[in-house]
Amino acid sequence: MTSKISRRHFLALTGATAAASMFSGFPVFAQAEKVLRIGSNNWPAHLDFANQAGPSNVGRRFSSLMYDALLIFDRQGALVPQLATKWVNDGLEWRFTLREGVEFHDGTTMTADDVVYSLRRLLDPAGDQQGVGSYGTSLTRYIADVAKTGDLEIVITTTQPDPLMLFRMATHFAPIVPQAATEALGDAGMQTAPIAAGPYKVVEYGADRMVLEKHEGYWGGVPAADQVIVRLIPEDATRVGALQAGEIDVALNLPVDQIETIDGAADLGVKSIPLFNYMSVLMNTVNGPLTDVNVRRAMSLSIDRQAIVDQLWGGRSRAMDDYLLPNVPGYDAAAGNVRFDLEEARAALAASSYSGEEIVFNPVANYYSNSELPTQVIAQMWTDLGLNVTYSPMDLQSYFQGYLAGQLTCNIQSFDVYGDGMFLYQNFMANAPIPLYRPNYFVPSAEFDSIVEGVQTKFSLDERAADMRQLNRYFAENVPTAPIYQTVEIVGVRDGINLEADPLFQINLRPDSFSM
Amino acid sequence: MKVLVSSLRRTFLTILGVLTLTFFLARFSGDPVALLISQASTGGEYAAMRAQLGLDQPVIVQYVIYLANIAQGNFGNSITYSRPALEIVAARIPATLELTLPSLILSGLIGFPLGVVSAYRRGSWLDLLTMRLSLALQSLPQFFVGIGLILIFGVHFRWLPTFGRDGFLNLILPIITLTIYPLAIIIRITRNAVLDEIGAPYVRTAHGKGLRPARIIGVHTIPNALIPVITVLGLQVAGILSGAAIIETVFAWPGIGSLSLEAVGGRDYPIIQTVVLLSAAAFVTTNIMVDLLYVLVDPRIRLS
Repeated sequence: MTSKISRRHFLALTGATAAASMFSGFPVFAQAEKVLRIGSNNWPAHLDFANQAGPSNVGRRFSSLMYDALLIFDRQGALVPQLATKWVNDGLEWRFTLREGVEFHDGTTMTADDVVYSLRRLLDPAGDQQGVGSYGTSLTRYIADVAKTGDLEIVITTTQPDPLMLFRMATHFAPIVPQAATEALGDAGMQTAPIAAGPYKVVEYGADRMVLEKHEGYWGGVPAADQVIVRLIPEDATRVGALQAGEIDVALNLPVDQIETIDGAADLGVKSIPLFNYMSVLMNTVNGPLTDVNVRRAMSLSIDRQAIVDQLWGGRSRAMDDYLLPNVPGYDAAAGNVRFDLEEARAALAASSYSGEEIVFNPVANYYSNSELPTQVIAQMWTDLGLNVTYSPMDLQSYFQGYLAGQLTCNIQSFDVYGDGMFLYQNFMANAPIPLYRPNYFVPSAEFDSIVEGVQTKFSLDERAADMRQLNRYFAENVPTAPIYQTVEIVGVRDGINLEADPLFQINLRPDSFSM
Repeated sequence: MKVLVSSLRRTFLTILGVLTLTFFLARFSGDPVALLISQASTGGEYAAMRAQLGLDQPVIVQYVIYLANIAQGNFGNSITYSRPALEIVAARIPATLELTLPSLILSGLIGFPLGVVSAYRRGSWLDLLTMRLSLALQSLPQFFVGIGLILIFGVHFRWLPTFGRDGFLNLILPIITLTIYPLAIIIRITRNAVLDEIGAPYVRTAHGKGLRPARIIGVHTIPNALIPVITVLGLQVAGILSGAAIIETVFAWPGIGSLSLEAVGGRDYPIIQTVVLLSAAAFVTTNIMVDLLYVLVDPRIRLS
């Protein structure tokens, strides 16, 4: 947005300025407040992210505005220190050295007691209002106890050797909060005006508006914007319009069909990044027309993933070529676990028992961003292969009902895979936290179970990679899922604001990631 | 007195019917716990959460508890926000009234005179223009109108804000969007009603008696034409309330309309039920007021 100042305006302005400075005695040319205005498509039910409910990514997106944890993932997915500076593992014990002089929003300094309190708070079922068990169980099921061992040192004792503890501590479900302030605020207070150690402090949180002020004492430096205002603008067209009209500086979750409009505007730009998450087709291997593995194989082989990425995502996504993402131990594109090969697909279909049975494809509608077109194209690719596909999107609730009852044949789901393949494969294990896949959709072999069981306690990256390659191959042979593309975060940003889309879906306004 | 009692009984039965329908429709439409629970939660937690929310009881037991609670003014806690549903809905009511009341008033204040003029100037260019325009406006989806207004006045000219509830200027576009549909209906209904009256024998008699045309219109025609208009205006309350759900979402307006859409998405039963109950109450109240207005407008009508 360019504002025009005419000669007359200028004279009036300077006159007024001179007059004002004569009378007020204060310098008028004080530095203007830097305000960052963000338009979001969705809204967190509350701000106590340790207790955040719901299957969506809403919490994760806002948590890093106000919370810091012991560690954080960087943009490449590597773990880097945040409130902990060092850590060492000794079997069942993870020992963390804490950062010195970390200031909370209320001005108090972080102690080992605060950290112990914060992590125990996650373990306390009474503190968990929604009964969700904060990522829960995957975060806390391995923790036996947390104890202070020094002024700036704590030890997490695990129930079994846990090589993934660092990853768990880096999720948005493990924020560090001050004990005294949290106890004084209570759960209700933490839900609307949390006190924590992140770069911004919440000063207002309402139904459609959240105002945050910079945390002057932030350990990582003073944040660039003095104030951040987040507004809920659920309708895509309105959010894009507000960005174009100059009413907001950042529009989250930009629809793909708006990329060109925003990119073409003189003062706006589009930032995008593939997330540590991918979209997959999930197939029912237990009941219905997809019980024959050859049909599932034919379906996976017939999906031209690169075409979807190029045509529908403008090349901003990445076609999946394995069950894991690059940089994760065990990822191996050369293994050919996930690929497009029409000849082979036709051969697999010919070898199958398939004889024209109806295959109902139920992608969930209006949930995964920008997934409507890709699923339509996938359905068409299957039809072209010779399958009798009925494309029938479902709304989230009916989908969940049908899904949990084991009634669906074929749908889509996204999987988080950051750091380690277990974040994917734990969903399929025998004692999976919630029975989303077994027994209704896929019951893996005893061999799968024993590899998963073993890998949970292995620290050696080479050993983990070898195990993961076996699991990937097992999935490639049985095709319970067909990975399609890495999901993408796309944001529209005003020029002059240096904010990158984040692969973990966060709005990261820490001084090292954001300036304006 | 008797009339009042029967009217209250009817109101009570209507609201009870609405409550019952909403309760069962919501219950049969999906499981909120499946949405709230994260993928990593245990089956045990799932069961515990259902129990905590009272969803493990038989539906009929839930229904009785629900009615008993409402009778005591307890609408339950929102499943999403874990706070009293009534408190959350009540906080949003002013925002919705800011849009719906002006919309209702404007559609009457503008629509009625336009309809009267159209009728008296039947066939004129003014009549044709008004009728064409109202037909066109009535046919446009509100969603489309809202986005169009945002693009023209917010994005292109930058005269008005595109979203949010920050001040007086923010009201203009949503109110225009919300007013268009009832306005078009009021214009057409008024025009037809006035045309019916113009041709009625009593108007011809009045002309024959040599009364001034202005007096015929003001004292005889318009009061009679008002009756169907008031009826339709009353019915439009429901239309405006449901329109508000769409308009509020388009303009990111934090009223009960956008809240109810969110609540339906999240299967937040207590919120849905509270919103529906309040909307039903508003609708029923409007109808009672319409009945009372009849008496004022036309002395021949008695409440009995």
